[in-house]
Amino acid sequence: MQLLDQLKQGLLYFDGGTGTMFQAAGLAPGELPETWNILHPDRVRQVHLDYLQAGSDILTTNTFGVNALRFPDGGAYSVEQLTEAAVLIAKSAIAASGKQAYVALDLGPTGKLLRPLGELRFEDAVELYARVVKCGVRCGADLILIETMNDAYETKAAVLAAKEHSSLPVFVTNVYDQNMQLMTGADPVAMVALLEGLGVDALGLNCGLGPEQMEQIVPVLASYASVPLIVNPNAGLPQMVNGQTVFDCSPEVFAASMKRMVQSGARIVGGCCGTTPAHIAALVQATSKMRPAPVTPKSHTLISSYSHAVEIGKRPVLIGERINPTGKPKLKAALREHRLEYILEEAVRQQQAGAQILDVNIGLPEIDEPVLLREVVQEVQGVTDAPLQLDTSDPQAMERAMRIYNGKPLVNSVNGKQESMDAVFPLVKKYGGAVIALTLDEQGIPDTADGRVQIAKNIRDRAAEYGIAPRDIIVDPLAMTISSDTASALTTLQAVYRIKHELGLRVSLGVSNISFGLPNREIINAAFFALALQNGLDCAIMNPYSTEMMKSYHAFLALSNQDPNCADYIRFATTLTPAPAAAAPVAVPTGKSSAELREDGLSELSKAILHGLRKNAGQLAEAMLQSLLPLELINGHIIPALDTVGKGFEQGTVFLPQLLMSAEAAKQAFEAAKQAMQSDGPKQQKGPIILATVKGDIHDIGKNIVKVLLENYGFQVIDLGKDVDPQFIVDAAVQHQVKLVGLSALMTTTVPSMEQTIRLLHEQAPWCKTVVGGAVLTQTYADMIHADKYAKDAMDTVRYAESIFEY
Amino acid sequence: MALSVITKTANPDDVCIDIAEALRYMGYKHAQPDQQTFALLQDCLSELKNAVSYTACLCEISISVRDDEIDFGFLQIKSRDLSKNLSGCDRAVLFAATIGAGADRLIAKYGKIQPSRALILDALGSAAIEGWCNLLNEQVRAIAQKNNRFLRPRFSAGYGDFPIAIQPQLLTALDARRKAGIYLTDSCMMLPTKSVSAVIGVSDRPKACKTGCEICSQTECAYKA
Repeated sequence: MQLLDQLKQGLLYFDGGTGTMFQAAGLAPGELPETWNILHPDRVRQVHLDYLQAGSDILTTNTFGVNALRFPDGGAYSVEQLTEAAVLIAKSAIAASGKQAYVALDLGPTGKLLRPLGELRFEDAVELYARVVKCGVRCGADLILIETMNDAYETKAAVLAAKEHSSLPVFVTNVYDQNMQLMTGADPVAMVALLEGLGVDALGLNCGLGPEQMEQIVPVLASYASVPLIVNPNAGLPQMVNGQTVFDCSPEVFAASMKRMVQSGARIVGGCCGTTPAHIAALVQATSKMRPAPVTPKSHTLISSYSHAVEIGKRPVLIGERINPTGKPKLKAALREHRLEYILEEAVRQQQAGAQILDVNIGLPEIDEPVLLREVVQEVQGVTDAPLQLDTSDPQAMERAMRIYNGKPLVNSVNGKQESMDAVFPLVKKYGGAVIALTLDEQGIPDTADGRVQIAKNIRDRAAEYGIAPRDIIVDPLAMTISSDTASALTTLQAVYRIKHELGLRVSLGVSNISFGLPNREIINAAFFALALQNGLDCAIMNPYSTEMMKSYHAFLALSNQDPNCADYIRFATTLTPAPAAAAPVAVPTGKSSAELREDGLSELSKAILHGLRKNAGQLAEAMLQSLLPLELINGHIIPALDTVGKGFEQGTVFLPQLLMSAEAAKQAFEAAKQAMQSDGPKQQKGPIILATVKGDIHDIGKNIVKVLLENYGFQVIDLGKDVDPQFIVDAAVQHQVKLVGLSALMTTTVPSMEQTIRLLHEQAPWCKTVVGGAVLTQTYADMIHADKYAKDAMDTVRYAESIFEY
Repeated sequence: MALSVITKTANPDDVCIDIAEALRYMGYKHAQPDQQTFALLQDCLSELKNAVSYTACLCEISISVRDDEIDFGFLQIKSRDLSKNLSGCDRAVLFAATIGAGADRLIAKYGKIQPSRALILDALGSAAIEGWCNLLNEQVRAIAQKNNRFLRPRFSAGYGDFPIAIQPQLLTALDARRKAGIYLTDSCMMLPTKSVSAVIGVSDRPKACKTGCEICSQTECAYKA
């Protein structure tokens, strides 16, 4: 490949900014520069020629903003028309110049923020980019440049589109801020992990900062990236001078700074906003004689989330194992009933307990794993920034989850069987990922360390054939219980040591298996964990709630000189407290509060609910259930407390945060009561009620508040989420035959969606009542859109629901 | 020529988050929160401070106001309320400001698992964007003062009859997506959600103006101060 070969030889020069030059050539405010591909191709060509003259090797097509959102079908110019014209203009400029140069098909941000932060669906983003890519490839672009991306997820969508519809080299540059983060939070190492996983040919940064601000980021990228680095800064930071924006960086200062970045590893250099052919000419002059540092493959094993990367192979990494239904009846029930908040709470708690990566396994025979795993992965990424380990044996579920995952995932797992490698490696190659490799094959699990090392070797070699580097293989030599073979721990430990030190691969273990069948398993687990760490274990799939395991971990780090000043150990050890007694007395605060609630004669549990003490409420309920029936607990202690708070709220003596805190405390007590009931006893639920934030509205806090209160009052809630299409709501109402739909809207601009939803409900589900609420809603509005009920607050909705379901 | 827009940022400690204002958003009129709520609020405040990223983009332009019509150069609109606010002004500062996507992530996270926390973070986030706007406003005022110029209270699309539908033009003129990471949904909501765009009139003479809730004709609003 010509371009990539030339890149191996030395530096390549991009062009610089075009905005200022277009404005000088007459681009009007508000005029879309891409329309000039049709209206003024000569002016666009002239800018290209100026840059070629200045020494640019790569021209960026004038397609930054070309996508079907900005140029919808049926408009004056189609995406294809603008793209084709842009590529042809760049090619003709090159031909006219007589120079050898390349045409980079330019893809900028879509202009919309992706879900869950925004409204654009991931697959829609992929499709927007795919159209431009297909056309650019057809017209003869030499490479694809994805640039000025300030969101990791959108970057992934663009790269997937580029890879799926072309075989051209793909270059990617992101916009970092002064804190070295993208707008949506990713740091440079996270971007290296994501982009190299997706197989880009070069990566780097552009826009946002001037060269001097970029100088601190380039060395970070250089120490992690195995591909060439691109640096296209602005001409400094914009300053306001006499009402005009002036970039503060002259061509000379620009070139001097760029020279330093070439020394730190930049290989493809050019400019962005405010840079001119003079900047590029100065850059070429300052650096063309330089010999850039060679691009060397790095051996870091990285996985990432939308914000940061976790490196496996340095300090041992803890992988939380709790999101896995095996042996967990509560989680099984939550999955069957699609109560995902149970999983989300586990995710947050595990991270708080010290897990750096979270395993996500939702495999149950009766669920549609490909659909649910994808959903759970998205939801879990909505509550935690810990990278995820996608754990499934279903290749279809794995592919969907890897595709939608925001970052570079850890994949659990592949093994030495041909069938497994054939299924998993193509996915790892396409979407990026590090993969847990189990040392078993068609013959089963070898009894000896030798056998397991051999399988690890086979997997490594087979992965290499797919282009997957050894750094992305993390071998799990399998801990087998010592209760059936007392030598098995030794075999596993030997394998850990040899895979790590002989093969140079990373090693992981599911630790707790070692004690299966023995009493007090934590004793064995914790000791085995310490031994495995000493033998070179890089990461462990374990229970982060296990104090014994955490003791081993922190002690090992301190003892192996991996805990400077023993600081982490001290922090950990000093927070260790004896396990609380089941019914710890509740510290009910004294002092005047805004809640003048009558507490005489109330039980401790009721008081805990009144005061919103979640932990205490759960513990007290469990203790009381020793002597009380669950229904007695609910009717005698939970409901009265909730009633007190609810009435206080309605009278204006209790405020919304308290109402919610009490609801959350009551929920803990309810959970305990539910546990104590016969698991398949009659469900005392009313409803169901559908809740949704209407189409176009992405504020869902009010809806979430209503949901928790309705659940508290015994209603089953079907939460359809935010930005929900009217027909989707109606279909759900018909499907579940619901009697009540609650709709929320925050903005006047989305009230029409609410009106439309109500109209469709009246037509297609005439039995169904509607209750509406939200910041802009008033009784007048509600009447105007024919809602059955305007609820001024969450309690008002509860009362209305009670009136509907009273029969 | 395109507008000359500059980007500004601030450290979390430089922006004043008015707790009383946050409490008002949560429905406390003049009451004080109880101990548990107050402790939770403090906890949320420190979590929010770690998640914010104060960014804004702003520019100053010439404007002309005639009767109910305001000409921004890139945009001409009719609005009685805004023209009242801008009367006597020959220039205006336009800005868009945000506390960043991190706050939205936190609010979304707790909306799923602990709504009380989401509610408090949401209110604190609203107070934070107000605080950031106040700081920007103060910086603009300091410059104006040096030149013997006076500011009108900031005025946002959606106030009175200043239509929210101008947001796309305003944010495009400010290049707010690139300069400050502020997006607009199809229904003209700004993202991140804790973002504000506004116009600040600049004049040779001071003038008292109605601000905030005073200019709003809505009478049924729960948040009316």
